[in-house]
Amino acid sequence: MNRNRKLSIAERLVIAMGNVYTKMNFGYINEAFNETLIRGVGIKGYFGWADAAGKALAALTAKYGSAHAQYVIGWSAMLNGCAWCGVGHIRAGNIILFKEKGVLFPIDDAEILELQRKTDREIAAVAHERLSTSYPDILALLERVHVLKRGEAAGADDTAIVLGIAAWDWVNECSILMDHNQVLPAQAPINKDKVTVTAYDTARANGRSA
Amino acid sequence: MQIETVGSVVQVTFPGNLDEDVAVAVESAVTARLVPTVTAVLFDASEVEDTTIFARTTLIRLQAVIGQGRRTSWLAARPRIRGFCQWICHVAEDPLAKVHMTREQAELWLTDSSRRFEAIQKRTADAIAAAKNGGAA
Repeated sequence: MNRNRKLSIAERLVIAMGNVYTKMNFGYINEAFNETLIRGVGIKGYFGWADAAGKALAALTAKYGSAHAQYVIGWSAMLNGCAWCGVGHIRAGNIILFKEKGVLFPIDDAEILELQRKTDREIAAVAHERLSTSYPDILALLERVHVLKRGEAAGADDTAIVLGIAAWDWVNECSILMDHNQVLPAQAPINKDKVTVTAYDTARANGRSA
Repeated sequence: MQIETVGSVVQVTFPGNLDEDVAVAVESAVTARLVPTVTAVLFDASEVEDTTIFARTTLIRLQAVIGQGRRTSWLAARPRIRGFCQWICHVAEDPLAKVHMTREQAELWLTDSSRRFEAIQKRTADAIAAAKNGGAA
């Protein structure tokens, strides 16, 4: 589909609806994302992705919980080289974990851009070093994401992860260039909980300076 | 930088710093090798640590030339570089170009017949069906 074509009225309406939906449910607007997706895949493709993403998130949350679901998606997107989704979903997982357990996950979302400059092998080593003792369950999930993306055959227990990987491979087709200096929002409804987000950011800042 | 033609595949291995000079040299050398018997190009960016915006522009132009019926695999070991390669495939609007994490995946893509986006959509649909059935993906 020609990405430079003129958008139809229907497409513009869907983009506007997408922006309102994102604002209402996630507390931010990413106009470039909705427009780029529509330009690339059209209205049918846009809703197809939204449906797949919703099902992936539901399947992952049902199986692993909401924070873990965000880590699976965020890790997959991070490995794809997507800064927006990589940071945004890991940040969402971190804030959810902070709210539920009052802890700071050992991988700071502010580190993701730097992590993406490392090799896959180096990234795996960082994850193992940081998580093997304190979060072996999340480490196991991230390692599973990694090997499945490298082509290992999926098993019956991997269906939710495989769906998460596929849905975010799809959306990472958007390929929007972004300003790496901007602060990215958590890409989950927790982003609207400004009290928790502020408390998390304050705790992170204190942790970084400690 | 290394460029060789192996069978019907042009294979390019980039150095650690993929700058404009490298991109221009690759564009020239690869274009010269795109004879009718060449059906695919494999860009190995496994060693690439950094790149520039100017290199991207040149490689997008090259990808658009390659993409006239030929398949392309991009291989990279760093997520940031995979994002860079994905951007090239995307902006060049080449449905037969795809980014990979492993050499095996990259080589398999060159012998496949699917288009990138359609393949992702199918994989997602299959994954939804598998999740619904509770079986293997």
